[in-house]
Amino acid sequence: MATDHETSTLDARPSDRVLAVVMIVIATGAIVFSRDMSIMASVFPRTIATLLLVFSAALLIKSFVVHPRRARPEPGSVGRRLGLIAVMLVWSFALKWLGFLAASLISAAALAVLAHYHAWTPRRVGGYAIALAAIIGAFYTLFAVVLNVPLPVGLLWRQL
Amino acid sequence: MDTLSFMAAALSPINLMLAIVGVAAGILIGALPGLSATMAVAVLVPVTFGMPPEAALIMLGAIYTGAIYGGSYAAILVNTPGTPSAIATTFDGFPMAKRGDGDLAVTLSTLSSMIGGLVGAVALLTLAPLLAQIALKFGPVEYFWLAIFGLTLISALSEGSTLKGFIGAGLGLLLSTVGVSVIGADIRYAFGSQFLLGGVETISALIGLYCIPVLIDLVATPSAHLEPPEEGRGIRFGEGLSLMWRGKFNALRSAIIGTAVAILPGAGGSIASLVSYSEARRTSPRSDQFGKGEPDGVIATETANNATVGGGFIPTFVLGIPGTPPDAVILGALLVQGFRTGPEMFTTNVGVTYTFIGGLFIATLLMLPIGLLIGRYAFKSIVSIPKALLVPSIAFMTIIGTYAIRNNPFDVVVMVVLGVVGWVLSRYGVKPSPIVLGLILGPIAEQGFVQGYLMGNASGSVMGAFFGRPLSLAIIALVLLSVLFPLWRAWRTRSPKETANGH
Amino acid sequence: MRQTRFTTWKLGALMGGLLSAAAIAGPAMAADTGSFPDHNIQYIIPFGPGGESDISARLQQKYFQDITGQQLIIQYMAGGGGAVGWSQLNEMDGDGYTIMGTNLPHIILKPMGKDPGFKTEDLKNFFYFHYSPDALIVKKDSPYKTLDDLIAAAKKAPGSVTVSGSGTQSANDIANRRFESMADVKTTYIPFKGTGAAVTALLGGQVQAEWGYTTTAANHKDKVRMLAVAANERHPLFPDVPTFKELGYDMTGGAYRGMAVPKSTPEDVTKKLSEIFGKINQNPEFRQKMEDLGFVLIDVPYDQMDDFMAKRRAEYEKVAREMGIIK
Repeated sequence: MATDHETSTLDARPSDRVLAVVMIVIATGAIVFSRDMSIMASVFPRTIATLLLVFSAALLIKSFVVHPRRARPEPGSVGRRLGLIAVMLVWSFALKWLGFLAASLISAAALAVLAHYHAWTPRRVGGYAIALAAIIGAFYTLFAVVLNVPLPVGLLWRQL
Repeated sequence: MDTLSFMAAALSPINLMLAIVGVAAGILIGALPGLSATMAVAVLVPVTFGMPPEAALIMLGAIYTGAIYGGSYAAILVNTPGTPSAIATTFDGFPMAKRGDGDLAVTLSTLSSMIGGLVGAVALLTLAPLLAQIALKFGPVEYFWLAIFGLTLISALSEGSTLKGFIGAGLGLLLSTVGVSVIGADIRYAFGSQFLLGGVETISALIGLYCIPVLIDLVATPSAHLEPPEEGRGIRFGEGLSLMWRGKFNALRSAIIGTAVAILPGAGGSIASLVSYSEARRTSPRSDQFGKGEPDGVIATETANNATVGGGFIPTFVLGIPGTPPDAVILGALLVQGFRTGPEMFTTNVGVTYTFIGGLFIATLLMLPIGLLIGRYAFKSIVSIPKALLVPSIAFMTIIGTYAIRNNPFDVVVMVVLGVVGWVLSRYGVKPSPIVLGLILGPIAEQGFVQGYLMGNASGSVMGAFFGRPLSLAIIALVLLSVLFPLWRAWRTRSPKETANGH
Repeated sequence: MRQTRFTTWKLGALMGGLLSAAAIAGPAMAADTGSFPDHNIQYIIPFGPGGESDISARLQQKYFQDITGQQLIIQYMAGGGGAVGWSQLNEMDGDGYTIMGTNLPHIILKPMGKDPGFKTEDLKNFFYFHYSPDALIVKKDSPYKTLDDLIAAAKKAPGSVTVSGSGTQSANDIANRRFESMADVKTTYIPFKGTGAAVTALLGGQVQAEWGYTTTAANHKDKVRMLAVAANERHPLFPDVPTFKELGYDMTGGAYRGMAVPKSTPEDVTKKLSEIFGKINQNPEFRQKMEDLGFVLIDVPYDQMDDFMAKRRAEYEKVAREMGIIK
């Protein structure tokens, strides 16, 4: 809950409306998909979904009646943000197929590129690569070898 | 006295060494986002099989208490709770770090964790049987009302729009229903996927909702993550001490709350710290500073969550029912050793029990020097690591930590997806805390409600079951207080203004 | 520009190097069928740590090491009441170095309802080593001194006697239903999440009785007593507790536990595993420890497995129809 101590805020009406509509859809979906549950198991989801509907409707109404404002989000590079999101998503899906080590090494390298704003010198590349490889290697050893956690081996390799 | 001599046995070289190693290992594990206290204890249980019971207990207890404390490092320095019990520490810990007081926050956390741990251990030593009996009085109906109380805390914690806080909580509550229901054994919202069958794992959702948005925003700008501290400032121990003294009532009250919550089986550090934070904010003269980096916020949460260590052992030892998730693991380890809990712990096995409690005291006290040492290096390194290394490292730890919870690669996908969703929602004004709170309290509320309903049905009166029991009425009163107090306060602050305008 | 090209080159080389390193490290080691087992075996428990499956597995661990010289490494894969683990079993390596705990009635009952991601026949069980007999448990100071007391109370006011148990459509739930139909009474079964929570409810007086197991009663010996046990003979730890059979109700059953391998595991390796665990089960020390905790040991090796499963399936199918799990 870090505060955005803002002097300027944004008009929240359009975003609130979108949020409210999305929540209404989710809540309705929850009720619709609870049809094939037994009575006992459907009571809670339906109650919550109904409450969610009420709250979202209230939010929607509020966005028309009052003029809500929201904090201005931190500015920044959209491209890099999307890049990180993409890398993380691919990483999580790739674990099963590429195996833990391969997926992690590639993704970590990609993230390092995304997070770096200054120039790349050969020294830096080498230094960072070693550092990251060391960190990944250390944790891999700790988890897979010492703690015996079965890290994904990579179905792709097995099929080769 | 016999008790003292048993406790003194905890000072033997082996036990002492186990305590030191346990605390240090626990702190390091707890500090990493994704590795929780439960996991730390679970992976190290096999190591204890060759040991005598009191040595095993001391080591596991030391790891447990270190891990709960260590969770605050990640919470303060990276805005991601290292363990669920550190969620509330992010509220004020991270803002403190952002404005350059990260080292102070870590020092405060160390001191608070030690005090909280001591209070919990004292309760275990002196009041265990009594408190355990009280814990038994809490049935499904009481748990239901407690969950409602927890949910009303959202209104106290919501920054900005209370409405959005409730929407977030509603979303969290819905997410908690995904999977197989306890009552009815229905498969809910799984859409045919065998992965969703396992439900949304709390810790992976926690990591996702807190860590991923932090990472997304870290990548977005070239500016440094945290302000480096002024040169030669050390760990600000003196400053920390004086702040602790100022907040002594807060610390004591929070420790008691933490112990009280922990004796209820099923309630752990996350709930304890949230309740104590809410109370601290309610009674503080600086309540509007909470959420912006108020030291009392950190004191409240860290005292409470370490008090749950000692407190959680009370039902575990006296009743054989685990008070918190790590206790369940420790209980299993004890049973395998052939070590029975229950009255035997205070009669035939009393030596082991008191030696363990002595060890717990020692481990808690050791947190201060070890914690300050490690904390200093943690702070220095986080501040000085370039973003290009920090981002991949943290991302990597979230991935491996999430995977290691249930050895399920799908949990990692859930973590990332929820994280992205959480980031989007956060920009729209729905913060992660209500969602996580809904996720944690959902099962408690639902089970309490349905079980209470069934019980009421059997005894002829459902209303009687829910509203007729003295303990539940007390909790309902708390709920009303928690809902009405902010409204009352808002009304009060408005009146003087209106009076002023009237003239 | 030179700087950029240089960078891209370097990055490319870096990633290429890392990839090859990973490729070499990635694939699993070749399986060695010479002297089985020649390295550690992964034992996956599809539940969380601290439960009965965990405890019985850890007891097996020690004796496994004594017999084979290799370690049994316990992992957890909780979720869906076991479904998450069982649905992923057949995706794992079938070289005999990965085994998973299985439980009855779960693996038979679950697929009968909504699709849990696996079918009973898909699980290749190779040894079943114990069961915890169902037991009807009350607090020490409960007004019900014998089973008949409880039945009388239930007949007087149908539905008023509350009984806790772990989960719905679980061993406890089934035990309750069978009991209800045999004794011709109606009780209110209140499901809880796990045996621990069910016992807590009993101890706190929230319910009047609990469907648990002999292991539960053994764990809380000082606070509870059993009204009856669903076994063929009285349990050595509790010589005073009658069996349901003695009292006139033909009810035996409980939660059975065993182990399975992925379907692709070759027959000879499976048989070897069955032998090893059979030996563990014969070890007198192991038997003593298990019995002290309340378990009842049984021996169902690989060649008797199909028979055993068929019998259990018939039992459960009947109850499942009554409960409405199968339409």
